[in-house]
Amino acid sequence: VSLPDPALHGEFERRLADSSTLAFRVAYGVLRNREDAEDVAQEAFVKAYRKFESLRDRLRFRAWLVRIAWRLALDRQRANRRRERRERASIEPEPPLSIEDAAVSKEFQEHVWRAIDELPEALRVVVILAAINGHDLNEVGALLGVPEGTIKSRLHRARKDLAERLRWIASGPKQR
Amino acid sequence: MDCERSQTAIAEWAHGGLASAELRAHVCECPSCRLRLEAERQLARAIDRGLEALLVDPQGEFAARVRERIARTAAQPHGSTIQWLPSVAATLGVIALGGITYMATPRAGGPRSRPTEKSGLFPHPVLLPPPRPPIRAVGNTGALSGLPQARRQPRPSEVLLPPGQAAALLSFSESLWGRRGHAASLLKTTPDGETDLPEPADLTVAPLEVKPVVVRPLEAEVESGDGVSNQRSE
Repeated sequence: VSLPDPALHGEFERRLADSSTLAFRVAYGVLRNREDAEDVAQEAFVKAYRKFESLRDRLRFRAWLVRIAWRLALDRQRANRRRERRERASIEPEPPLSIEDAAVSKEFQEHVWRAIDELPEALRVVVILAAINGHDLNEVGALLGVPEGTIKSRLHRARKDLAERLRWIASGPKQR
Repeated sequence: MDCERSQTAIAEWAHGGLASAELRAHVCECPSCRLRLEAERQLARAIDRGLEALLVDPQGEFAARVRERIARTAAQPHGSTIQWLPSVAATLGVIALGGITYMATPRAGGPRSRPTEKSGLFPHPVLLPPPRPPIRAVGNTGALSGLPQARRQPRPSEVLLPPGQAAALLSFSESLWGRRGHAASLLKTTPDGETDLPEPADLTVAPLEVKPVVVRPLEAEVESGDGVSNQRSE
């Protein structure tokens, strides 16, 4: 498993230092849990290390790593949801939140996460990558291998979609 | 522009879209649309704040923990696979052995498949005719009757006969198949005084009475018959 070439190993070390936050944030963007995000990001690096030798264009390492971390995080999220459903089935349901409670920042945050999770995957990845890259759409386009114009268009559609889903909370119970 | 038409355009504007001069003018003049625009902008900011929560950094020495995990994984390369290999190999071996045994076992009452030399361990099944019942010798008469014994049939036990009957049987067997030596090895006479079989009082066989048979030629009968028989012989 270890890289035979010391130069290759050194190059991977540099990539690791350069991209560790990115992998963690991508995983966190999907999972919103530090422990899970850390575990998934580590797993993504292990996978990347194993295949690093076969990666032709090493300049695309960050995009490659984002893809690995994204896939692993989605798998983990599905597994977590299945477990939560099983656990929830054995617990009595909680009473629904009032609108006033939902208007509190933390609750609104939950609604934002849920709305992001419900986006189509092509829009969801753009929203998350734009957020963790400080809305540098050129960088997001490079990570996804998509022109910047397409990223801009997808981001706009994603934000409109999010607004549609969240408007009823911001406007209060009358318009719900 | 009226308020109803401006609703969609205001949402677009608040969430990063472009606004026409006509829309801007309408919002400046219309208090309700100004309120609507402000509400949409608040929503956009709330979404931004929600997305800002994604800007989380890993704690402590994340890179060191990654290195440690890589080293741990490298120490046991594909450990789980290696652990499973013997079990998988054993299972496959048992399945293959069972398959070969199944295919090689003859089954009565129907066609069967048998591996051929050319096709390897798991060839396409070849339909064979149902097996014939094996030839069996009934009792201990196989050698005496001259029939070839089945290959797996055990050698028949020796036949215990009174002295007079053994000699008669040997003579009979020799006259039929000329295999005196083989039949003699199977026959054993009882010791004197240990047999319950009655001794024959007189072994002399009465001579056959041969009566002369009058054989008449066929033509003589035809001549004495009717016209039909006569025509047939012609």
